[in-house]
Amino acid sequence: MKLTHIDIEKYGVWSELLLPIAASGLTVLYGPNEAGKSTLLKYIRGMLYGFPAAANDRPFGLRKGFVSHLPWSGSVSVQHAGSPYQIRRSATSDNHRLLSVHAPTDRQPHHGEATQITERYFPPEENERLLRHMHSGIGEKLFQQLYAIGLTDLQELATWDDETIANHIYSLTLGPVGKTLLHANESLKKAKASLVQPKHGSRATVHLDAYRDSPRGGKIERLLKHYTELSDRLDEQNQKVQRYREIVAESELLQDHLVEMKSRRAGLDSQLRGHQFMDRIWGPWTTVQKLRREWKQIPRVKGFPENGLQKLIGVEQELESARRCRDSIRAEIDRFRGELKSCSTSRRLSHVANAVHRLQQLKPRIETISTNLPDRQRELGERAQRLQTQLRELDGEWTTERLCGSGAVIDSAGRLHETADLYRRAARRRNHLRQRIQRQLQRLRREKVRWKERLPSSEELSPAQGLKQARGRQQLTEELGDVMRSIQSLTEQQRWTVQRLSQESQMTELPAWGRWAVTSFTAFGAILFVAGLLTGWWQSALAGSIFCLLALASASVGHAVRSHFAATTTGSQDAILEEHVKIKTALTQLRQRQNELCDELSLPVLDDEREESVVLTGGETEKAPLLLTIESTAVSSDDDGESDFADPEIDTWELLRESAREVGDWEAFAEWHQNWLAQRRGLSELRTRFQERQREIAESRKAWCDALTTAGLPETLNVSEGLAGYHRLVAAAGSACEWKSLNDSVNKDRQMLAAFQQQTARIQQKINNAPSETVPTIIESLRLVDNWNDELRQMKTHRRERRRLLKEIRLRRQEEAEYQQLMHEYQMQASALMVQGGAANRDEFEKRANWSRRRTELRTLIGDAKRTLAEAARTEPDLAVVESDLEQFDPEENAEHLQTVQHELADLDDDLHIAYEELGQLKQEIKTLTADRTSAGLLREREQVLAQLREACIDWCALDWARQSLERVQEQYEQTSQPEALTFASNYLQQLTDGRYRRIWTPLGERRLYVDDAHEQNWTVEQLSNGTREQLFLSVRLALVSQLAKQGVELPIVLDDVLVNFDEHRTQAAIRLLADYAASGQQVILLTCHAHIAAAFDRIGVPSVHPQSSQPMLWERQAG
Amino acid sequence: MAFEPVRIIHASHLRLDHQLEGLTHLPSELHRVVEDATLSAFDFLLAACIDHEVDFLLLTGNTFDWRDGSLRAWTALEQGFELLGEHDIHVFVVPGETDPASAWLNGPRWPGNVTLLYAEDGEPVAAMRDDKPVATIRLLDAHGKERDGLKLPRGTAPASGPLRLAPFTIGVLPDNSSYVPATFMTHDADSPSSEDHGPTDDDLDDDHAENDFHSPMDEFAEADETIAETHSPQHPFHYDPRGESLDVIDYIALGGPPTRQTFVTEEGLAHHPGTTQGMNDRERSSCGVTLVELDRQGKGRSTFIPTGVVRWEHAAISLAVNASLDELQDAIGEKLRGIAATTTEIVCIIRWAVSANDRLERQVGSIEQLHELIERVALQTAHSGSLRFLHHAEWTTAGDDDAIAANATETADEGCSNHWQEFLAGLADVAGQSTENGAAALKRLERELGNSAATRIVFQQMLDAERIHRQAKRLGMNWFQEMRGENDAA
Repeated sequence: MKLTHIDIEKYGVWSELLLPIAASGLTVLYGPNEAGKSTLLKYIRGMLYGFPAAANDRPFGLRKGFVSHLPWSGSVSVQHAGSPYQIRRSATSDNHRLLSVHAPTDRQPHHGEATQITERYFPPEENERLLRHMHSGIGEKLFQQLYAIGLTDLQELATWDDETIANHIYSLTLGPVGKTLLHANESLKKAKASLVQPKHGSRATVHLDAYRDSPRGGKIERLLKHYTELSDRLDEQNQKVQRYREIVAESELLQDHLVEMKSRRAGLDSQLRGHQFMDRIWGPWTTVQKLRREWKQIPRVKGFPENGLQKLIGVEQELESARRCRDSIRAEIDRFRGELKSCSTSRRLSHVANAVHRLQQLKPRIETISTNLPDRQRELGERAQRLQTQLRELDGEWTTERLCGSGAVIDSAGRLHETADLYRRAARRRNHLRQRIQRQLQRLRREKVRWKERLPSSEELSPAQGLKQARGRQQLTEELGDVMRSIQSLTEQQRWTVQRLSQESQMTELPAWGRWAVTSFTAFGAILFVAGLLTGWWQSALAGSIFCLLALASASVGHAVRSHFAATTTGSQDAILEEHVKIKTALTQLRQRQNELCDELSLPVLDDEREESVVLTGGETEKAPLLLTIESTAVSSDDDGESDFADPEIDTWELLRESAREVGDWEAFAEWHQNWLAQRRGLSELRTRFQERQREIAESRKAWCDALTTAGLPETLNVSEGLAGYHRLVAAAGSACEWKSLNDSVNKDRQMLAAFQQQTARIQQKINNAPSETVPTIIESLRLVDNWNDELRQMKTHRRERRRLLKEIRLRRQEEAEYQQLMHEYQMQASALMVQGGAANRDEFEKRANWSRRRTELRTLIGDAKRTLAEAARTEPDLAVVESDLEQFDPEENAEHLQTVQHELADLDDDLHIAYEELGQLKQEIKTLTADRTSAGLLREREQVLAQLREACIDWCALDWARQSLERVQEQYEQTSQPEALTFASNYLQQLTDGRYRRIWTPLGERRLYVDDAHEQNWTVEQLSNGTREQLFLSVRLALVSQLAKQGVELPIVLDDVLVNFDEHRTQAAIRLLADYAASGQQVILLTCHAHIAAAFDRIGVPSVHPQSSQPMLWERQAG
Repeated sequence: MAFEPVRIIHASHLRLDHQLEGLTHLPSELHRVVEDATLSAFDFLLAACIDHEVDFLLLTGNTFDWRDGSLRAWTALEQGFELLGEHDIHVFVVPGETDPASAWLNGPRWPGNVTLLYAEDGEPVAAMRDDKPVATIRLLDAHGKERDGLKLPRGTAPASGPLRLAPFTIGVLPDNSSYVPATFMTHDADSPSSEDHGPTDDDLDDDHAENDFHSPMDEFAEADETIAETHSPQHPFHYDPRGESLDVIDYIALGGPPTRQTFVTEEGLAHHPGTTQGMNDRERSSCGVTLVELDRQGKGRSTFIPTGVVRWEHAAISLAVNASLDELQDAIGEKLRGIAATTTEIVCIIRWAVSANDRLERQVGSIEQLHELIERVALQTAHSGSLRFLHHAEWTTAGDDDAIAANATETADEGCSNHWQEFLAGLADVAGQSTENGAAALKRLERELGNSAATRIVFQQMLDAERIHRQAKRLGMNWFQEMRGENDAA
């Protein structure tokens, strides 16, 4: 978009101003200060991007009170995309903003004559859209910063944050290398930061102690902190070493002290021992001395018997005791003689004592026999009767004797039972086999009958034949189904073709309106033709020809429509008919095949009359229309539109199911048949086994009969019967044996009773000493025996008592004699002792005995005291005591010394105990300290941290080296890969500064500009002078505008006195540059209030426009 | 000549309770093992002394580090010496750099079986057995004698006899920096000229590497002239041609850095047992002590006895240009199988330096994925014993430097190639300027962090400049590979 005119009706200081602007090239607007140049600049911005929205806003920094001049209005004429437009805006005090864009007009609009095509209240979307298109994506802010620049705006480049501009200025040509370098830089910074966190402030003042309380920081810092902590803790641990040393030293001192105390204790011990020794031996020594003195005072008795007095007393006591015993024995003898007279016995009874005793022994048995004998006799009779009954039941010649001797027969019971078991088992096995054969035969018969019912033809056909036949039928059925489905499909097609033919035949004739139209065309053509002839004849040949041609065209159209319609219909009907004939032929063939298949499957043949036909009648010439008559004799659609063929009479699905079922049956039958044959073979084997069982049973039967014969029983095939006979025989034999035994026992009892009675009678005769006429009964005999037995027991007692008394008397007499002898001996001993002791009487003997005893006692006491003394002396072998010491010994004084020493020793022991306790505590502490592993763990951890620190340092150094190397690469890259905009800007700056500054560049990854001068020295923007900085910013802006122009952005640059700070040379250079720049096609509008600048432009052929004087009749100065 | 048989254990650089260095991460279950590694090694040393019924234990320097101020070290030493005393084993201690004599003297009251040899008390001392001297030990530079011209007056030992009057003589050379053996008879595999440090795995197959040597007494007696001609004048213990007699040193206990070294020379055996426990990845392979035995015939033998609990290993894998992932796994497995653990070792820390092509690197992925791969292979590799592995892997090359340039040319982006070359050139310049292992960069870092005690301690050790260069190059490689990727995408 380029400005061509500025038309201000009312805006700021301006009203009714129309300024022409050079659409291409440079326009210089000159006016003095306060003339309204800046207002003009803001007017242009406002026209392109709108005025501020708020009513009280002053547009673009106009002075206060400007609001009171509302409403504003004006327009600008622009050239955009080769077309002229007029943009008009107005604003009223009630905050209405109006925008309109004029459509292009043929003629140049005059002032006040603008043709308003559309004018709507703000914001009309269409106008905005059109305006945005003119902006080419440049926003208002960017336009203000880049295209509509005042002197103050020029300085603001350094603070731009617009991404579009920043991308052009600061983005190096980021190819893979640039991205890599940037990425490498970032990753390097991150990696370094992870190792060492950059600190704010002066690095020199940063101390590691600062990290102690800092929760953050790089890895190295954290490790250093950890290392310092560990070192501190180790220092604390080293205090333990110091403590250990102190303890050890203390312990050694204590040990020395202990040695000293022990030595002192040994001295005291020795002293104590001395005192104790004296104390110990002084007592025994004193005793010895005392006893010796007594010994000397007692007279010595020679030859006095040892223990003479005790012996004499003892002898006297023994004598008295013997005398008392003798008198006692004499009294007892007299008592025994009196008792002896009362014991006397019967002589006759004693003669038969043995016989009575034997009878007494037999008495219990005789009593039992006499009690049981009647019962036993009755039982004997019963057994005899039962035996007779059993003998009668037995077959054969059996007697009691024979039965008692038939033990061998009974012993053959085992063999008999064994053969019976064999015979029974053989019979049972044979019967089981027979039943099994019969069951299998029945089952096979039942299955055969079932298959016969299921497959009747299985009687005539083998399973293979039947299966083959069934599968053939299945194939035929499937084919029949396919044929019937094809017939159905073709029938449907046939019906469809018939319908189409019917529709085609209806479409053959033109509708009424068609015929009318064709006729009209023909008539119209004829009329035109006539009119053409007349016109050609009367007026103009050309017009006539035109009419004639129109007439021909009209007639041709009618003819062509009809011909085309007829040809299309005929071709379509032919194709349908041809298709219909093909379908019919195919249907005929399929129906034939269907009938064949029905024959083969023995199904009813279908009706051939189900057929439809289409009869073609009428002329078949090319031009004549086809007339079709469709006859359908068999194909008749039902009301519901379904064909008869839709429900064929043959249910093919049912047929298929039946044939499949039949095939399945035959397959199952074949399988069963194989199984049946196998079972038949099994049955044959069973029959063979049955014959073997028969042989076994014959052999066992023979063995059974032999066993019966051997046992003496009659032969029988009934095992139960045979065994019952055997049991009867065994029972009879048992009864016979029992009877015989009982009979013998009863006879024996009778004999014993008789013998007992006779013996009793004989003994009675001997006792009475007179013959007896009658034999006593058993009861009497038993009573007699009891009486005799009592008498015998009493007699025996008397006899034993008499013997005892006699024996006692004899013994007492012997004892009396012994005591008499003993008394004599004691009297002799007493006399001898008196003589030996030199005493004439007993008193004298007693006095001499006391002297002797005391001397003996003193001897013993002196010996004991000497031994005690010797033992006490032996306890301290290293101590020597002389007699004089003992004589001078004072026990009380010694006790005092002893007590003193003991006190000292107790004190010393306490000290030793305390010292030992202290030593123990110290040793325990030493043990605790030595067992402490903390320092080892800390040392190990510190070494680990140190190793990690070294690793981290290596990482950091590697990063540092890589950074240095990367900087070189980056430097090289920045030399070669600056943005294109900066290259252009460098050229402009070089022109503006007359080559003093040659290069503008930006470092990789930063938003800063550097300028290199002719001496390759780098300057930052801040280091440049104001003028040079403005030249730099102007250069950059021009370069950016050029860049944007290359991208299709076409907007005018409006510069408001941007050259005022340039010196003369640079102003000239700038003017040349702007002229060249505008010559390249960019529209530049320069506003200036400096006459020399306007003059300078004049000199290079760019005349300045003075707004106040260019069209004075149209302008009215309102302000300034 | 008959000798009094002697059996000693020579150990060095015990550095008790000093902690292992360079372990950035450690599983918690191994904390105790690592913390007690040096003490455990000391326990093995004590057990070896008792098991082999040695006459005495010789500790030649750096038994502990006084800067650690470790109580555990002292108590361990005290208890260990008491234990040896109970078995009638004497201990001779030579102070070293980290355990100066003053530290020993200021320490606890050492048991009576401990003898400290230091400059102020530099007279030879005798090791006794049944009131008879079996060996004498002397500090070779105790009197300030020059090491390269050590002139020791020879004793008046007879040339032959039933028992040598002068017992087995041991000279302790605390610093072996100037030691140059004059004539080698045999050279131990773990000599300084070998690339690997410590005994080789072959030697460790029988768990004890042995070297035989003869006491020089007989040799000297029989071939004095020959030896005099063949010895280098720089040899530290050759006889003095001006002197009237020749002193004999049967065994030189070398000091210096903790590197196991053995020189079997005509004069005898000069030996450094290395350290009992490796402290960092520079002290690799199995560590232990040396059992030195001398029989009646004067024939000596030194035997390696392992004591180390934590083993350090370095595994460099360099694959061909077209190597595949399987080959990488095979190479890892082969390296792992090549590690023969001793009975004392519990943990093996391996630093892997893998050099592979760019494609294989991408295929494996990050370092974490490389770790996973190595651990997976380690699990699959059947290893004798229950050695626990810790892996620290690193890619040593960042692919082909020319690959980026070539690729850039293919994609018609000469700028990319130029920039990469510029980057490499810049890196080379920076590396060239930083002469002392990244000192300049470290100073910058120090300035950034501020001066403090911690930074001074941490930064007093220089860094591996080659690794820094490699890492910086890898960074650049990543960036420019990204550039290449974007080119490809374009």
